[in-house]
Amino acid sequence: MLGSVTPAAARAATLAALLCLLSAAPAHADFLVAPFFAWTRNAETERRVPGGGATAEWTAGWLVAGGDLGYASGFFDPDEDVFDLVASSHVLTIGGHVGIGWPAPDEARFVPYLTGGFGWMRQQARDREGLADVTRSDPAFNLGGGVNVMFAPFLGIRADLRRFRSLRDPFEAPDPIVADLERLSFWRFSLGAVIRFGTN
Amino acid sequence: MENVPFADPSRRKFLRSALAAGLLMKPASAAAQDPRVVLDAAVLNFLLRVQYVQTELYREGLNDFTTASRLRQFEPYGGQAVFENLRAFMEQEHAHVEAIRSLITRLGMTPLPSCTVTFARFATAADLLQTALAIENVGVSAYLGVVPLLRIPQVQTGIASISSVQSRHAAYLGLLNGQSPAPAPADTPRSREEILGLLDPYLGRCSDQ
Repeated sequence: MLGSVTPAAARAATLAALLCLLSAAPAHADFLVAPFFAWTRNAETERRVPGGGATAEWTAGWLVAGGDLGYASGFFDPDEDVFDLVASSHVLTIGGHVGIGWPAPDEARFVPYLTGGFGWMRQQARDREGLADVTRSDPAFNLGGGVNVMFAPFLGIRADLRRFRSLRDPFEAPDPIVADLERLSFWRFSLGAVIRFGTN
Repeated sequence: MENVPFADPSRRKFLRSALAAGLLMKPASAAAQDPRVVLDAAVLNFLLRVQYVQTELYREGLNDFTTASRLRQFEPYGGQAVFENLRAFMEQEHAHVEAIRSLITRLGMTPLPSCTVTFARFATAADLLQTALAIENVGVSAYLGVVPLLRIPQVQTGIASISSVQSRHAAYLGLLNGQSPAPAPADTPRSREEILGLLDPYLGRCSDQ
């Protein structure tokens, strides 16, 4: 019998199931603000650089939607720059995301979530001579998840692990010596507070 | 002093091997730039400053010994053969400058402009050989310190191949100065400040002429 189910019917059933799930969720919407400290890992230099940022999210039942701003200072600095050749470098990410979170009744303590989205990745590095100074902004996506641990209905902490990847090639017409450079990608682990505002 | 043979002294040979290694390939246009190459470009520009001093050292130094009576000062060290080796060193240093500038351009970055470099007239061959040893040793310690910082494999290979030639120059000049060609089992890198401090008496402004 199952073999006779048409793709259209399967899509309709899936949609119906999704609607049921969403309708089963409480009609409770929250607004979350989460300032954080972050450690961003540069795989090439094998450094974890410190940084910070903030996330703002709106949640309604299973649905999570929001935006994120993150900054990693010294991202392109070498692990031991004894020659002090790089004057400054950073990566700045800004983007929106959507995803799912387990419905969070007011008394829930652990609220895990998974989100993904798109935005921009600003990369900057400048040498001390001022001869090499690069700033570029690439479209980028991010994918990750974490958990909100609520101590009180309005306050908790958040841990988040997220992968960022540029959607633009490093060079448009690469010389062979830089042809192996892949699109920039990195992991970011963040830890911070989460403040919840109930909206209804 | 008996002349010490120097392996592969000709600039033509170096250029040929550098070409084979892809160091002097025509740079492709790089409309976009990537911050991951900034460190490599910074390292190369730092080395370029050292190379400008070394190239000018040999150019000015050899120009101070153009007459037969002045050239006779090299007799105790091996005579004309030593002078020719120093000329080959000058051509190799010039080839290093070209190779490093090419690498920087291929990274999509701007090479450090030529620097004003001034040496006082060398009164004797001994003065030239002592100064050359000191400057070559600065070069060895500069290359030694920065090679581990390089991230692009082809840049690292290219600079390592130049670094070994710097060591050959220093070893040869050490022998000419009556010292051991390899005075220690391991060389010590110097800091940026130390290197620039040692070059400061000779190095002037770097700018497009």
